[in-house]
Amino acid sequence: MASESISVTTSDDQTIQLSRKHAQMSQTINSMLEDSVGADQEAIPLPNVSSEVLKKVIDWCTHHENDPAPVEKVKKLNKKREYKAKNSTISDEWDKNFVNAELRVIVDILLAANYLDVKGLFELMCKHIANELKGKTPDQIRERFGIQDDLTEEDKAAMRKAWGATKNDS
Amino acid sequence: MSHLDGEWSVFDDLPIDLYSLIFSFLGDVEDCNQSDSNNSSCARDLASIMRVCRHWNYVVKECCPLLWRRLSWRMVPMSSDMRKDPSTLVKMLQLPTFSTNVREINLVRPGRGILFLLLLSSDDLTTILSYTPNLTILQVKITLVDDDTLDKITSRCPNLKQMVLLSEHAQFSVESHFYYNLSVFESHIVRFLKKHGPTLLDLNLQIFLCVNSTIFEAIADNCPLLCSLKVRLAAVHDQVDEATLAKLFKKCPNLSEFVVESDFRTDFKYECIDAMVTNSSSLKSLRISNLPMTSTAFIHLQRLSKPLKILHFICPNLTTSWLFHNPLFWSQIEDLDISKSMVSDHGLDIIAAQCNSIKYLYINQCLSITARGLDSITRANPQITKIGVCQCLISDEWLAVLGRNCPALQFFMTNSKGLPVSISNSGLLQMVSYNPETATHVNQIRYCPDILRMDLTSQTSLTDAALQMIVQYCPNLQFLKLTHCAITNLGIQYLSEGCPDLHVLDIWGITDITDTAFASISKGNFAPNLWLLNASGNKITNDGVALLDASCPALGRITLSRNGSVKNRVKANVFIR
Repeated sequence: MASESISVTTSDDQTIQLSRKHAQMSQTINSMLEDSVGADQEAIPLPNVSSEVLKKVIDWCTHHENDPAPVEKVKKLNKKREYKAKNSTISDEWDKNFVNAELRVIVDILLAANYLDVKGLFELMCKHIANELKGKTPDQIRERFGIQDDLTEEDKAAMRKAWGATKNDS
Repeated sequence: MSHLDGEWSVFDDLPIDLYSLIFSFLGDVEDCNQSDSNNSSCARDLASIMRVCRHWNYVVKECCPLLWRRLSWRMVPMSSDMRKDPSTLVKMLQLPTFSTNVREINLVRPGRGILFLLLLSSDDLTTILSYTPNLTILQVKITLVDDDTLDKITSRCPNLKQMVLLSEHAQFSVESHFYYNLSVFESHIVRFLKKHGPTLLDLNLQIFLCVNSTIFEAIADNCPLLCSLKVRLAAVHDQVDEATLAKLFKKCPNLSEFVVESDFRTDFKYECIDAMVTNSSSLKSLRISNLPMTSTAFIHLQRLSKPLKILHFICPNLTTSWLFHNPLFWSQIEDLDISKSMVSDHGLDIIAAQCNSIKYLYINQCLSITARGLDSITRANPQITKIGVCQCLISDEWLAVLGRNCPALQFFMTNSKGLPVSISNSGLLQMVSYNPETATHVNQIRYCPDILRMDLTSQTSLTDAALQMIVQYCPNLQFLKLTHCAITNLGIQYLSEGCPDLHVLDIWGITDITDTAFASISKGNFAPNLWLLNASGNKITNDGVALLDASCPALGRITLSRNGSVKNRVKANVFIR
């Protein structure tokens, strides 16, 4: 049995220890570990993840360490009833609290979860952002996400022409 | 990119594929339709997103075609609201972003033996279509399409590539009122083909439309790009002659799939096959059913210079002597159906000798075949995943052969209705548990994980112990038909303790089943997934139905006819869901 804790090096050159169990929740780290079985356990470099974000990811993994692993079977079911599985409701109270963070942090966690391939965390972030988008007008979305309206009047006119006039057109 | 108050937007780093993943969580279409206030919120959200900035507009338009497709596809057939009230649909389509993206409207939902038809008038249909200029595929009830409507459809949807017309009774009854006004349909179809033929890729005139030479001529004249043609021939009016078929295959060089169904009264001459064989350049799939053929025609077919991938040849006079040695023809066949024929074991030997790529094999109602023939063909084709041996004279030996030769088997259909029954529990065990590669493996549960579908109709010697085996050896089973098997509540209890993926269960006509069985189903592993349940002719009462109602959220259809003790009101409640 290999050692119980794994070291990783983050983008800001910090070395962080995490338990093997948590590390294996990331498919990316898991496959790196499998590749280096028997080799000297050096710190795994994670050049795309900062220590601040990694700590958040570890927090999430700690809370969800006993969740049943996503199995192939579940995938099959989802295919059949995908429209149900894509529900964006966040049911776990802890998760609701977890996503209550600044947008910058949320996007960083999303990118980290994508890179590290932590499926549950990735979906949670997607759901959260989708919920933030729901039921908002384009103006409200721009305000919430700090995006500039770079659509020209011609673009808008063209859209209006193609779509006809809509009530909540901004 | 987007820039506000001198600060970069946090979204600038996001790769495009992550956007589409996020957007895919936006709407649960089913949810949207369920509450009126929330109606069409998903499409509305997408419309808002497209108007946020250029980048997002680009992302939604160019990178999320699947998203739109999911929306446009799903919204029509899935929602029960819309089936009842077309105005909901119209309201949704008034959302411009949505409607211009709709590519496919399916106002009929065939599948799993059921047709759901949208209650629409022709006027509703034309209203709906006026919102969807980019429509390419349309499936509707045939009675909606009169001459006027057809004109409107063709003028409003210039991109239409496929139109499927279905009859309400298509799945259930052989009689059709469309025979009477064939001439009316002829003129419809000919006009449709004239207008749309040049872009048509796929034409399905199969269900209860009787196709004659006039229509074939029109297809040949107007559809140069046609790839797939499914037709139904009828003998009532004029015959299809070889010249017409020759013309069809000459003029439609891309035709790769040709499906002909008939009602036994048609005469499909040798010359027709001849015309087909000599003029086709890309035929890959040929499905002919219920056409009286001659041996010369079939032998001629086997001389086809190009090999076929799919051959369905359902013809009662097909015998072993018609089978011809031509490996070029047989070698690439993946899907073979010779049901209802008189082919014998020796016939299967001939096929097995030249054909090693069969994945789907149907030999339903072939009474001359024994286990030896099955052994021969399955040994040559170990990759078989689907096998249909309904109404064959099957025995335990057949099951042992399948267990030995078909490690990849997924679908197993053996409906023995009306025949002396001859498979037993031990036979079934031999099929599901025999696997030479894993025979020594300790974990026996993994033996037959691939079997997804089993139809064991009328196997009256199968008892509860058979279900225990199924649960043990086929953990991934999704579809199980047990009509008239000798099982009891105990068997259903075994079943409910395993098979979490099961979504179709048919326990029709098993008189020993009572509410206890429904109680186990409702507590069982598969209760959340159960989609269709046929429980006709059992001893089920209102209580059993109420239990199911409470614990099976996905249950869309339950059949309870001949259950005297279930009150009509309860039935109605379950149905309305």
